[in-house]
Amino acid sequence: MRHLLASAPLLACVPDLAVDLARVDAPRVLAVRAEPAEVVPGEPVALSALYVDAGGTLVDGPLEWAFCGARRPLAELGPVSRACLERDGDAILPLGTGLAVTAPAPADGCRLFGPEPPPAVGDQPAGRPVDPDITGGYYQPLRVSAGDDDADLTLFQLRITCGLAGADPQQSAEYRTRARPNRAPAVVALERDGDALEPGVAVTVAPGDELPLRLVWETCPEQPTCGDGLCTLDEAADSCPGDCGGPIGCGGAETYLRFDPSTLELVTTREAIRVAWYATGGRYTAARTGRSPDEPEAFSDNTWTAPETAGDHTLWIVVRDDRGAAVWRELSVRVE
Amino acid sequence: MAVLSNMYFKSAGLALLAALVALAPAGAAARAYGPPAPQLTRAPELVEFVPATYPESERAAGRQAAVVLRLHIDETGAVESAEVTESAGPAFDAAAVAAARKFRFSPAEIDGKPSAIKIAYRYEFELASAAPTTAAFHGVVKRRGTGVPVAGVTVTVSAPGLAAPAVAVTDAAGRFAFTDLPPGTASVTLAGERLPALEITEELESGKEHDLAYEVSLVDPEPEAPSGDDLEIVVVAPPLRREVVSTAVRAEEAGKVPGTSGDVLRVVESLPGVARSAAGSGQLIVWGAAPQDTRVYVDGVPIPRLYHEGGLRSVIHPMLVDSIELVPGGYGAAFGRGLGGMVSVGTRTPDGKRVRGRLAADTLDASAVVSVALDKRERVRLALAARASYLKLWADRLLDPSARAFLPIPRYGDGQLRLSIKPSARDRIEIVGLASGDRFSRGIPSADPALAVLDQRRLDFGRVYARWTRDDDDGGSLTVTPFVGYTRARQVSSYGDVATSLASSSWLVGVRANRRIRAARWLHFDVGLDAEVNVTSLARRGSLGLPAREGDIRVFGQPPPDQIGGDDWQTTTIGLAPYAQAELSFWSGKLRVLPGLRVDPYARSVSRRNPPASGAPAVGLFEQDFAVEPRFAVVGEPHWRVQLRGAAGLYRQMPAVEDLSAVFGNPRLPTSRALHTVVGAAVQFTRTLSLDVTGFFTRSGRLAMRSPVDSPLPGQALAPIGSGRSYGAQLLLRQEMYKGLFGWVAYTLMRSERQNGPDAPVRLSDYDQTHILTAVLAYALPRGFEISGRFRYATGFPRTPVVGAYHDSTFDRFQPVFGAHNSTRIPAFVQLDLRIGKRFAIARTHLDVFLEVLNAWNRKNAEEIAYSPDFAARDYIRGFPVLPAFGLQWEF
Repeated sequence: MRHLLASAPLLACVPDLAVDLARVDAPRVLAVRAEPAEVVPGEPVALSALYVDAGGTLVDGPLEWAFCGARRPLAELGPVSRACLERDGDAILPLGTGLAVTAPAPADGCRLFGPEPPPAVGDQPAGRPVDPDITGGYYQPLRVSAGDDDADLTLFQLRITCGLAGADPQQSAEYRTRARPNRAPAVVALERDGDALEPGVAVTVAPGDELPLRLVWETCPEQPTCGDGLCTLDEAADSCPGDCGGPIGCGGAETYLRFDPSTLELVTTREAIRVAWYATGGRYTAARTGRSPDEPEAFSDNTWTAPETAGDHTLWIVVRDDRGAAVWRELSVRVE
Repeated sequence: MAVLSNMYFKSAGLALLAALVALAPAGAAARAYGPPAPQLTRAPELVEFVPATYPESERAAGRQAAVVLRLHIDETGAVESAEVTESAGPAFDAAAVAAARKFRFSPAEIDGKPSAIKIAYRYEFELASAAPTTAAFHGVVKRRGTGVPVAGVTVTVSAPGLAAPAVAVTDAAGRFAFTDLPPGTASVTLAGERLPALEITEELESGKEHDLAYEVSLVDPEPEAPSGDDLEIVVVAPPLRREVVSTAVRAEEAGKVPGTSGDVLRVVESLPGVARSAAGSGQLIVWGAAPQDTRVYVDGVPIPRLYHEGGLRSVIHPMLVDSIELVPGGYGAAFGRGLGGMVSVGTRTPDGKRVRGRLAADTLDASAVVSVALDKRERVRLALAARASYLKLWADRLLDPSARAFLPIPRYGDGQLRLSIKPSARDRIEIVGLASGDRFSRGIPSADPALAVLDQRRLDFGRVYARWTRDDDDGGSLTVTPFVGYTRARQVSSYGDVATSLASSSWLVGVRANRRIRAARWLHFDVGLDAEVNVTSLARRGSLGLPAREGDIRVFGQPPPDQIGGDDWQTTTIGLAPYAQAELSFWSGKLRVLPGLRVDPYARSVSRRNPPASGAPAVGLFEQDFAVEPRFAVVGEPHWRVQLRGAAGLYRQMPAVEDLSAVFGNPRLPTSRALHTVVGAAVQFTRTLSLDVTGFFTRSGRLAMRSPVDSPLPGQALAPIGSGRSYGAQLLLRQEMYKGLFGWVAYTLMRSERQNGPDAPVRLSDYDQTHILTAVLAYALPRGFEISGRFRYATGFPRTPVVGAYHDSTFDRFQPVFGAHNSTRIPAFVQLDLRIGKRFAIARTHLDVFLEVLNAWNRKNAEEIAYSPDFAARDYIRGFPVLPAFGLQWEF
C-alpha cells in the first residue's frame, strides 16, 4: 500500500535534482591541502591542489592562488566576503601560479578573521571580532582560480591558530596548554574485500561489475593515553616525551578542545570525518559518506560500479575532517 | 386540531401572549391512528396593530388591567372572532375585543399551508406616567426608489434599558410604532422576507417622538426559505465600521468558500490586500508587509498567530467566532504596535438552545464544541471547544519519505473556554481562555552527515482574559479587558553539524479599556488605554545566519554561515498607550470625521547589552521612547449609493525581542515606524452588488537589517537602517447572497519595496506580489446541496537568481553566486478549487458533509525554487496536485 501510494501524484511535489557529484568530466579542483593543516598567522604554509580532469590527475595547471583580506559583513550569508570572489581588488593578495605554492599566512589573520577585535575607526570602540565556527576555528580565506568563470573558482579556508573570544585569561591559558593544532587525516588503507590496495597499482574490474571499497583512516583515542604513540590533546613533550617526540596530533577523528561561546566553557569534541568519492566513469552508491562524531568507526565503505564499456578510469577519494584539513588517495581502475 | 407551542409577542407597550391553542379538534385521533399530527410551520405574526381605546371611566379611576383574549384567525390572517378568557371588567373587555377584531396577522401555516388558527392574546392597559421617561419611536419603511410602503417588515429595537428586544411589524402603510422605549442609543434592525437584515443605530431622547423614514431595497423572493443557520457573522459590519478599509464576509458564506474546509477565519486569505502565502507557511502578508508586522487580536487581546503551523487551520474554533475584521492599514487610534495590517477576531458563545454543539471531522482534524446555558434565563452560558489534528498520522503512513521531507506536515491542537455572564441588561462579562499548540518536524537524512538537514518548530500559547462591557443609557459604553498569557516557542534548524536553535518563553500581561462617550447627537468620543507588559526569556545558539530574515540574499537549501554564537537574554517591554478618538457626524451621518491620537510611551529593559564573555558581568540596558501617533479618517456619502473615504496615520512597532540579542541582534534597536495613507470609494449598485476600490501608500523606516559593514560594533549585528514602501490599489466586486448566489472578485495590484540601508538600492520586498486575484462563487442548489468554486492567481514572490557557483573545498560544499537582489520570481500561482456540500436534517439537528477538490485542474504550481547541490540545475518545489478533502459536521 505504501509503495503504491509512493508513486501517487503527491510525489510530484518533490523536484528531482539529483546530480552525480562524483563524476569528473572536466578540469576541476577536487581538494586543497595545507601543510600544516592549521597554521599560525605569519608562518609559512604549503598549499597544494588535487587538480583533475576526465583523463586523470593533472600534473600541471594554471591555478592562480591568492589570499583574500576582506572580512565578510554579517549581511552576507556566504562563507566569505563577496570581495573574495573577485579576481582582482584591494582584498586580493596573489601568491603565485601552479598546483602548489608555499607562502606565509597573512600575519593579521586573527585580527581580520579571528577573535581579535578589528582596529578601531576614529573614536569608535573596536569592532566585533569574527565568531568561531562549530569547531571553534577561524579561517583565512584563500582563492584558487583555474579560469575566468565562477565554476573555475575554488575557495579554501585555511585554519589559523588564534586565541579565544569571550574567554577569561585562565581559560585562555588552559587552552594554550591543552590544545593541539589540527592534523590532517591520514589514509591508512584503501581496501577491496578486506585486501589493501597498493598505491599506484591499477585494479581490474569487469564491465558492469561492482568494486567494493573501504577507506580506512587512523584510529584516534577518545582520551589521551601516554604511551600510545600519538601526541594528542593534553599531551606535551614534557609530560609524555615518548608520544610527543614526533608529529603532533592524530590522522583520524581527533578529539580536540574548543571554547563553547554558548556556555563560555572549554569543551572537548570529536571530529567528524567526511569522505568524497570521485571517478571519471562508472558510478558510486553514494558520492559522499562519512562518520559523525558519535561514530567510532575509522573507515567508510562505498561501492563503485564499473561502466558497461571497457576503458581506464581514475577514482579519487578525498578525506576531510570538519576542521578543514584534507588528504586524498587515487586509484586507477581498468575495466575489461 | 393540533397543539401549538407558546408564543409571545410584545408590541407598542402592549403585551401579547399567544399560548397553547388548539387548532383542530382531531389531533389526538390523528396521532393515534392516522398520519403524523399537523405541525405549525409558520406562526402568525401581527402585521397590523390597532390600539384599544382606554376606557375613560377606568382612566379616571387610575386603573390598569390586562385582558386575555382568544383570537380566531382565519387562513388569510383576519381575526374572525375574539373571546375573553380572562376578564378585567366589562369596560376593559369591550375595548380589548373591539381593538383585537381589527388586528391583521400574517397567515399561519400548518404543514406549509395557510391555515386557520386560534391564539391567546394578552392585551394590557397601562396608563402613561405624567413625566415622560421614555421615547416614542415610529416611522415608515418604503421601497427605495419608488417610495412604495413595505408591509411585513419586522422592526426590532434593542437598547440597554430593554430586558428583551422590542418588536413591531410594519402595517400595510409601511408604518410601525414603539411608544415606550428607553432613551439612549438603540440598535434598530429591519428584516423581512425580501429584506436582508439591516442594522441602524438611533439616538432616542426621552419625552420625544421620533418619526423616521427608512428606504430599503428589496430582493426578489427566495426560492427556498433560509436554512435557519446561526448568523455567525464574520464581518466588519457597516454600523460598527470605524475603519476606512476593511472587508466583511458572513461566516455563513465564509465556510462555503473552497479551501477553507469550513474554517471561517481562513477566508481572510481570499480577501483583497492579502497575499497568497507559500503553501504550508500560514503567513499573513497584508499589503506587502512582513508577516510579523501584522498584529492579530482576539477580543482586543494580542495572540501570536491566526493560523496553526502550515496555515491549514485557524487557532479558534469557527463556532466561537463572532466576527473578524481585516484592516490592511489606516486603522484607528485604539490599536497600534504594528507597521502592517491588523486582524481582529471577536468571539461569541453560541446560544439559541439550552445545549448546542457541533462535532466535526475532516481530512485534517477533528473538533468538538458544546455550549450550555447554566441557568434557566440563559444569563450564564458556557462554551467549550477542542480540536486535534491527525493529518500527520496518516501522512506519515502514506507519504513517501522524500515527499515528507519537503512538505511541512504539522501537528496541532487548540482549545477554547468561554463563559458569558449577563448580570444585568446593561452589563456583559465574558471570561475566555484560549490555548493552542503546534509541532512541526521534517528532516532530510543523508549518508553524509554534512548534508543531513533537520527543521523542527513548536509553538504553544495561551491567553486568559475577562471582558466587562457596560452599556449606558445615553449611548455610551465601557469595555475593560484585562488579560494574561504565555507563549513558548522553540525552533531548531540544522544543516550538517551547524545547528541553530531559538527558544523563547514569554509572559504577557495587559489591559485594554475603552470608554465611549456620547457628547452630542453628532459627536462621540472613544478614550481608552492599550497597555501591555511582556517579559520574555530567550536562548539562542548556532549560526548567525539562521533563521532567515527579510532582505537576506539566499536561496532555499543554501548552507547557513558556519560562524556560530550563543546568547541568553531577557527582555521586558512595557507599552502604555492612552488614546482618544472622536467621531463627528454631520448631515445625518453623510459625513463622518474621525480624528484620533495615540500616545505610545514605551520602555524596554534588556538583560545584556554586551556579548557574553567569561568573567564579564552582563550589563543591562534600559531604554524608553515616546511616540505620538496621530490618526485621521473621513468618510463621506454624497449619494446613498456612493461612499468616499480616506485615512492617514502614524504607526510604531517595537523591535522583535528575538532581535534584541547582543550577539545575534542589537539590544538598542529603536521602534520602527510607518505612515499609512488610504483613499477609497465604494459604490452600491444594488442591495447586494457593490464595488469597493481602495488605493494605499505606506512608508516604513528604521527597519532592523543585518549590518552591512564588515566590522560592526559589538552588539550591533542588526542595524535600524532599513526602509520600505508599499503602494497600490485593491478592488472588491462583490455579490452578497441573492437567490442563493454569492461571490466576489478581489484584485490587488501592488508593489512592495525595501532598501537595506540609506545608500542601498531600492529592491523588491521578499513579500511583494504584483497581482493577487481571487474570485469566489457559490450557489445554493435545491435539496440542501451547495456548490462553490474559488479561482486564485498570484504573482510569485521575488527571489534572487543564482548566476553561478563555486566550490568551497574546505567543507566540500558548493556556494551560489547571486545576481541582482530579488530580480526574479517564482512562477505565478494559479489554482481552481471546487466544493460541493449537502445538508441533511436529522430530527432537530443537521449534518453537513462536504467534498473539496483543491487544485481541480491539477496545475503544478511552483512554491519555491530548489537547486541541485552544485547549483548547476534548478527546479521548483511544487504545491499539492489535485487534492480531495472530505469533511462532515453534525450540529445539534
